[in-house]
Amino acid sequence: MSGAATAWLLFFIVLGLDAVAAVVFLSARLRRAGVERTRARARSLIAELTGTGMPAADLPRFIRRSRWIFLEECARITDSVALSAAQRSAIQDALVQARVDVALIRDLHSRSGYRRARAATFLPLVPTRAASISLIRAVETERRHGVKLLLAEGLTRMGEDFAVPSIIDSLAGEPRLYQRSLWGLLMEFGDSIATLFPLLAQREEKEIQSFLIHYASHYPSTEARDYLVSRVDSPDLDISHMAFGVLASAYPSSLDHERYLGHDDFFIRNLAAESLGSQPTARSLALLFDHLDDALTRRSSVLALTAIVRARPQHFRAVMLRCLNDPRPMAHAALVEVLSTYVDYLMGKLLLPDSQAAERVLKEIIEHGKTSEVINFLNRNADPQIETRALSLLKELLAQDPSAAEKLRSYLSPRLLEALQLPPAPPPAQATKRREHPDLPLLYTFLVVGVGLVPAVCVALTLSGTFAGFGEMVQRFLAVFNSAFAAYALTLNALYFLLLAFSFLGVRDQARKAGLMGNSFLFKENVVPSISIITPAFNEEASIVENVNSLLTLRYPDYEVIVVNDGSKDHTLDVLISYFGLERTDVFIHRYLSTQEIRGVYANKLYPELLVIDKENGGKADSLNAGINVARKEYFAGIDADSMLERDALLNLAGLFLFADEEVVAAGGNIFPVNGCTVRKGALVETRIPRHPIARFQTIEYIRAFMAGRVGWARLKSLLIISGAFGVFHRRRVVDAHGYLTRSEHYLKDTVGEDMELVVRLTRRLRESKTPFSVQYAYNANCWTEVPEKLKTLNRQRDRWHRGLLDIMTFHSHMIFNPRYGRSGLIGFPYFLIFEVLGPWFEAEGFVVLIASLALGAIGIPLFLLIFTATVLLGVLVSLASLMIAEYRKEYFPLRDKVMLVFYSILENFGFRQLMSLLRVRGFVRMLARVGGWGQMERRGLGTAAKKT
Amino acid sequence: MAPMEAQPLPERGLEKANRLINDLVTGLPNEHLFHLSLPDEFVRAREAETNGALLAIKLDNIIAINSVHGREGGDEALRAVAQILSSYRAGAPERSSSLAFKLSGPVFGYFIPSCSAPAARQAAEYLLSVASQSELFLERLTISVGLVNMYEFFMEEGTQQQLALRIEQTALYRMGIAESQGRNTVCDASDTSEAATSAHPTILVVEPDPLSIELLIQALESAGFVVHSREDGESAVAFIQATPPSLVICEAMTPRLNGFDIRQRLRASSLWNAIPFILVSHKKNEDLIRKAVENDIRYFFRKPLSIAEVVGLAGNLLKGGER
Repeated sequence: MSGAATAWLLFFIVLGLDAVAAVVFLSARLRRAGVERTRARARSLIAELTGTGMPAADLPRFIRRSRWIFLEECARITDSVALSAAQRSAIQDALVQARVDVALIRDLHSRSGYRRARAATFLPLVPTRAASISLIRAVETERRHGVKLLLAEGLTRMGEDFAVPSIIDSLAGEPRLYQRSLWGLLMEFGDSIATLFPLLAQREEKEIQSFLIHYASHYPSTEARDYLVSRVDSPDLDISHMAFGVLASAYPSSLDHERYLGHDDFFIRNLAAESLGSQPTARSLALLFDHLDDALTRRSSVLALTAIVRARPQHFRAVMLRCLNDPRPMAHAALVEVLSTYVDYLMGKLLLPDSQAAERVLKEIIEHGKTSEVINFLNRNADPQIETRALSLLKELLAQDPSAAEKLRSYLSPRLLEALQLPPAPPPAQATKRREHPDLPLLYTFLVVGVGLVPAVCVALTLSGTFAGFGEMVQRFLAVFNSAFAAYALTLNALYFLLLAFSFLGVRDQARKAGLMGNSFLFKENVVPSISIITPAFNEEASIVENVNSLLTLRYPDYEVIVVNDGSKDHTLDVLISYFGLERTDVFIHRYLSTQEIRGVYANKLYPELLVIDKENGGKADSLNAGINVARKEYFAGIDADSMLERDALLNLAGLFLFADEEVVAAGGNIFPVNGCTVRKGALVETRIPRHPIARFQTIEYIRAFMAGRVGWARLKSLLIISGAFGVFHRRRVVDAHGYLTRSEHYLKDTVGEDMELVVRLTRRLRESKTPFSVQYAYNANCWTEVPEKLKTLNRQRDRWHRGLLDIMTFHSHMIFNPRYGRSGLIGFPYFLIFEVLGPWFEAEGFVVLIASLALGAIGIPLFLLIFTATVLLGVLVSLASLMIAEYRKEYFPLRDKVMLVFYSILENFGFRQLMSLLRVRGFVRMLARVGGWGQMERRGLGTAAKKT
Repeated sequence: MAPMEAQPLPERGLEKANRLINDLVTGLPNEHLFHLSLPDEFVRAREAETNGALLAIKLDNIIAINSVHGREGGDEALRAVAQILSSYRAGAPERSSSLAFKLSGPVFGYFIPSCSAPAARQAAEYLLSVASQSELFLERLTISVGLVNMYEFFMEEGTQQQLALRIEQTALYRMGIAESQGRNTVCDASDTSEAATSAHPTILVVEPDPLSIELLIQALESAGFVVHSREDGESAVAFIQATPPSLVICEAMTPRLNGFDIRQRLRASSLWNAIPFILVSHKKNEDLIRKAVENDIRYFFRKPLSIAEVVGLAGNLLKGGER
């Protein structure tokens, strides 16, 4: 076959595939409707069965034909309502009659992990003797964590007490996350564990000891207490501390406080002091008073005293008397701290005849730097008499010690400042310039290779042939160059298809497993890890309340929300304070990571899961680091303040953690443009594609990058990017790696690509220390975010992304082609180098050469067809395949929007994609221009926060 | 207090006069002054045909406070209530014409001239919420409010003194009803007429999951209840405020406003607060239970729900048994 014929054939084949893909994508709804009908039928059959106890005539046939749908619907119903024993046995009879139980038991031995997990999920619907025995055997032999959890869950639902020893045995040698999930399930077997307790108490394995300690906190008994007391003396500090923690919180009344308050281990001393807070007696007060001058337990003692006075206010007088008379300076300061929570009460006392004591205490409170409560009170107070008294007190103090004025000037209302004759605080100083220092020589190398390599090779190839006339040589060069361009496009798209294949496997796997995990499983205590959501906000007054509201209504078992106000110049903080009724609180903040100064922490007791941090401006990465310092949960999620999480996003993401066989250090979710959607009070009402063409192009671009790209990369275990708009990280691991890259932290360096850089650095460290880990990506954990609709903002955004990428490629250049870093070094990094750093230069050149060749008539039809097929037609096919994967289980957009998406995925090949390549080239040039010192750096806040596709 | 002898004579005289009209503990005008001014205020309101409102406010937990903190503590608590009233009065310029009195026992009177009935109700609810959250005293203060609008007596026969006495008695009577209903409630004319309980008990189910809603509605309707449903917190609150149901069954994790937020909104008014509230969720842990208790939620069930239990409880609650 001639070259021309081959080119035409290829052209029509790919065109045909495009058409088929478009039809399949658009007709998804029809196919889904069929499944929905079957589901509805299944539900009505189940309702009939459980209502009357009599199976419908066609039930056996239905179960034979649609067994899985029937089982899934049964599981969904029992997940939301508990059926009666009679209803359960009706279902069991129907399933046994259709021999479903036999099939499920057979599946327990399947080689596919999914089938085993599926059998574990559905077998409790047919709780026969044989099913129990097979499940118990399966728990003993199972290796995969996710499957093992579901097996244990199935046994829990069946209440199979005989399984307990096998499940407990499976704890040994497993990662912590898995152990904790299993604890949650085992707690359901409370009573049968009690009978096993004496036997289990003999066990030496650390995992089993930790479990028993956890058990003792939930099911108190004399036996359990004696076990804890014996474990406190364990040589293993983890066990000892954990045991004492439980002893102090669950068995405080039987704790020998005098002994432990003098213990050598200060951790234990602290817990002993803290636990006294739950026993508001005069004896506890006396004990705490005696130990107040122990610097290492001061905080715990203060907490305990505060708790005691809160529980039994009649002890207030004793604390106040002690405070006024305690000669030990440290104890005195601690008591002042306790009394500082009662500023309102003390202020009221100022007006009474015997106000001297109250006045002295108030003075002490201010002198010890506990001014926030006083400031809060004065800003709120409406009583003019008290105000006059309080102000005269403040004046008196300021005369003695002017340094207290600083805080007053920043936070006291202007009216009161005027009364005190204090000027308001000056606006905070501008943050200093960013420090990026990229590696210049390496950047120039990239430039030379990117610009010169392909043209040089093409020139060499042209010259290697026989010499003809100059025009002939140019013709020949153009032909070689165009062929190279076609080859490049073919390779790139072939790679995309490979990734797509992995993506498809990944998505199918995720969707199937997600279908097996019901709410009653995921919401059991400890099953999914706890998460702190950190949202940096810079000038977000218009949308911050809506965003926080949306974060507070997520569906997740255990999470908190931390908003970090990054020195906004608008009213972001005030809006939050007034909407959520926040008050400034003095909390102790760990300084795991160094950041710009934190000005205050705000909270409201009615929203215990919300914390707002006010800090000096330092950029997004710095704000995230500050949030990490305050976070208390196992994982943290960084979320842009202009993005909106779907209600199930965290839950979908955490579901993946359960099935991961290595510890998950980072996980990312999906980003969709929110531009066309309707949002009300922080909840999506309708999901539509954006109206503006530029945003529509980006919709395609995002879906392609996430579905074809990241799911595939995660499946290949070499995912290196997690979007800054929504990513979840293991808090401890990130702290150990020195947090996000900022100039205040370990590496003294800023970057605009902090989200990708963090994943790269975590990967690097964990590979170097040979710790097994995984980076996950959930195809259905969705985050909807604003995308730019103006070319200018888009340009600026892409400029930043590319600068971030280049920065990382140079900062971590050590990893490129380095086998020490496994797949990340050998596949991930080279991909970024070749197709993202060097590629855009070649794409731009290729585009220019193609235009020139067309103008000169120097390109034959076969070659042109080949290039067209390789770039446009294959590109469309990749986009359509990505769209199909994105809607694998759920349709996001109505039909007319989907038609638009198909149209735009064709249109984007004529201009938009080329433009994006050019923007990258421009970003490269501008980066060089900047670090060469030719351009003044412009500092930008988070308003257009960094995101990466 | 400093010895009397040390003070100059004119001030002593002034203090004596003060004692006659002001309460010793709180410094507010006393009952005597209250009896003097109420008839005048009533006549003024009737002549101008503008409503006025009298709030009788009782510090409920005074006995408990006295027994724990002694008399001195009780006096401090009363002063705290007085301070809340004065701060409220000073809070906005139009409130400066209101009058606060300390009546006998742990009872205060607060008169608001020329104010509409809803505004008076709002003022009472606001005072309740301020008092229940105040940290002016060592313990939480709980108060009951009886509310009388002047217009209720515009058409009545009698001298102004007689009518004033009846107004005062009505206010104290309603205060007693409020106290018997539980701490931190308001009682006015609408509450005494039993308007809240209707013949057909309606249940509102707030639940975003379609399958759960379907199953619950089926069960409740077949038990003979009229059931409405809402999928998010915002529309649920709007529904309750427009047509208060007899019972709310609410999922804790609802979009826009979650179950706890809904409950908080309902607590703003003692009318909605009285609607029995059942919280249900897959998510039920110690923190949430604590939060539920703090929001005065008495029923909190973990899903999967036992339908028999929920339907049975709904029946018991709506039969007019315990709340």
